[in-house]
Amino acid sequence: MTDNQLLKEKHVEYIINLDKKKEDFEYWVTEHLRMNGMYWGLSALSILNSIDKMNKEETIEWVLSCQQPNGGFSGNNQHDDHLLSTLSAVQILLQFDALDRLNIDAVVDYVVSLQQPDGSFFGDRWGEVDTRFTYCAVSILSLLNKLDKINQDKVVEFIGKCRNFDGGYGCLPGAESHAGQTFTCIGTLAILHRLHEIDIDTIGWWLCERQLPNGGLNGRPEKSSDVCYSWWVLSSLSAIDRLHWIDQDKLRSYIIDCQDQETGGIADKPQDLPDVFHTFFGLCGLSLMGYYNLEHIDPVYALPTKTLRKLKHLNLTWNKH
Amino acid sequence: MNGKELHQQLNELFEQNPNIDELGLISSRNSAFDSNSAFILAENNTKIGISFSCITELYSYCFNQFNIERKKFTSSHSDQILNKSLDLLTRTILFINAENITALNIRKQLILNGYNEHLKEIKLLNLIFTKHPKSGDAWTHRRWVLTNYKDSFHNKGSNSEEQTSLSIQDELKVCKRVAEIYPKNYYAWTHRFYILKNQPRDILLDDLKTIKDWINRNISDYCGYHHRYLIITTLIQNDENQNNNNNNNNQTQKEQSIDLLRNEIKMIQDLIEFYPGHESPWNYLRTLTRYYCTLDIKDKEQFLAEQFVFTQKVIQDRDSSYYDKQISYCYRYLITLIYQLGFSQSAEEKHQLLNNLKNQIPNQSEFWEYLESSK
Repeated sequence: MTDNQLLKEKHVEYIINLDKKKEDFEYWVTEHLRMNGMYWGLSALSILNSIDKMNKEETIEWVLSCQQPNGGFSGNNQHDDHLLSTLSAVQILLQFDALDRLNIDAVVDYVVSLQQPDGSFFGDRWGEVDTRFTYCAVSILSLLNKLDKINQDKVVEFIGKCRNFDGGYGCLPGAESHAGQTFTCIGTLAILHRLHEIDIDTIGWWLCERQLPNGGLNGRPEKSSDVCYSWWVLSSLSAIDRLHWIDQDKLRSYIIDCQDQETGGIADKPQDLPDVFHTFFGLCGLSLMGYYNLEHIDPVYALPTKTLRKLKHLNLTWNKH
Repeated sequence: MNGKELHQQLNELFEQNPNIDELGLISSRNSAFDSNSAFILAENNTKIGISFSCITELYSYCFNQFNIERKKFTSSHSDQILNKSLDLLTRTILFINAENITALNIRKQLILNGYNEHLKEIKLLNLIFTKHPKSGDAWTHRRWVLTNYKDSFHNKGSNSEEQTSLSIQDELKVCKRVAEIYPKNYYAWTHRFYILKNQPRDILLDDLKTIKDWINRNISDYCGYHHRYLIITTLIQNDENQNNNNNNNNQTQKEQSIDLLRNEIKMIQDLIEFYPGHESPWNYLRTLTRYYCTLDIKDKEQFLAEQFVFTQKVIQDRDSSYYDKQISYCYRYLITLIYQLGFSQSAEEKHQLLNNLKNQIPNQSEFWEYLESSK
């Protein structure tokens, strides 16, 4: 790949055909993640300005059918609820401008019920704690304008405990710094307007160290590069206004090299098979860096900026678009 | 064979061979399979392979059947036939997809209603990890089983025989084994510290010994270093807390812990010189140094000077094919000493260092520029 071309039409084609593949092995081992997959696919189409290619009514009906009696959403019809799939459900409905069809109070009660005395969140009623779940809870409540229902100071206190000496954050207090978890912690602090709690020089340095000589980014020291970190690392740098601390042109080339020339879609690494997760995060990276006239994605909410601008209660202090 | 028959055959194989401790999904073109068999046993029937060609059939049957039977399941009444069937269906589902949280959640309920034992569940998870070492949801399930086990033990009152059956040592062994199957395994290492964090000093010190051996064989795996960092800082923190509680006998112990940290820094420097050009030990040295400087110590100036001497020694040691990488990490470390910890250098020396870094790590040029402009 020498001409740095983004195969927009092929990527749209790739995404809308994903849901037509049924009953093969891939389908069965990913069907429990369908809500996340739907959010990745739909948001990728949003970035490509092609959201109308999705069957809106059918998708909304299906999302709503996944709301469980406790208010949370499951990853697919036949599954149990979880905060991870609940955030995706809210993000999908918001992009279709269909939040008015959602039983909002039930969702809010569900999220609120999962906060613990130390400020952390369970992912579901079985009690696992992880900073990813904190991000999901805070993002959901913020999008629904219900942040006042939880103890925000305790949330910030818990996130602070997950910070390491290298400036990065882990999934739990003490856990190793990880770029994905760092995104969830910086995102949480941004939504709660506590970005001043962050030691920007130290975390900014650790984040820009994630770029490898091939231009790609990794998530931890001495791991190989992977397109998904074009989101986790880049969005974190963007939220603290340090995007320019990496070589953006080299990262652009790396993402472009991960495109599948034949089928469309973007893979984790050059020559690998594409999937919807890496397609979305590759496009997100390109959008954040301002290449190819893509729809701008907000680095904190992982939703199109123009969608968020419709929510008058949000104050995107980190977003100049 | 249809999905139902495959599932039954798999169950029979497990009934006949209770010692199976390794699981694989194998391409059926593998010569070990004859064209008709879906499963293969090896090494005295302790390893099982499932042919890839039958997986979709097997999984879709089990998942559909699971969803039918799940609707009949309530936590309040106990129908042993239903319990057994759900136990077997979810087991097969997890062999193929360990991230199916709904299947994992039913298994939690099978423990709560008394059908399954905690120990048996842990053994099953050990088997699942041989195929799915990176399944975050399976690790989550494991922590739930351990927590519930501890809680139910507390509720029942003392029963030491049962308590010893799920031991810390077994957990640590599994973490080590899985970390070897899949290096840089975030889940396994997070779990390891979760198991250790509230353990007494001697157990933490023992683990430090175990992991020393491990990092010598896994130089570029940051997880092992981070784990050592957690143990050392936990020991020092525990001493601090005890000192605050006016326990004067602890002064010597505190000094021992600080010595541990100093020895660690020395050990990691030796490792860096012995295996040049790896990012992880350098990052670890940086973290230890930053941590050391936050402690209430009198010799900070001298300590930083010693670190500086170490960097000069590394820069002069040109006899390695990895020299370029080695000095780029070394320059990064110098930046920490100078810009974050206040080691004094002339403006000219700082300028030279940042220039070197712009050549060595051009991707981050803007960051080096930023440092130059900030001082």
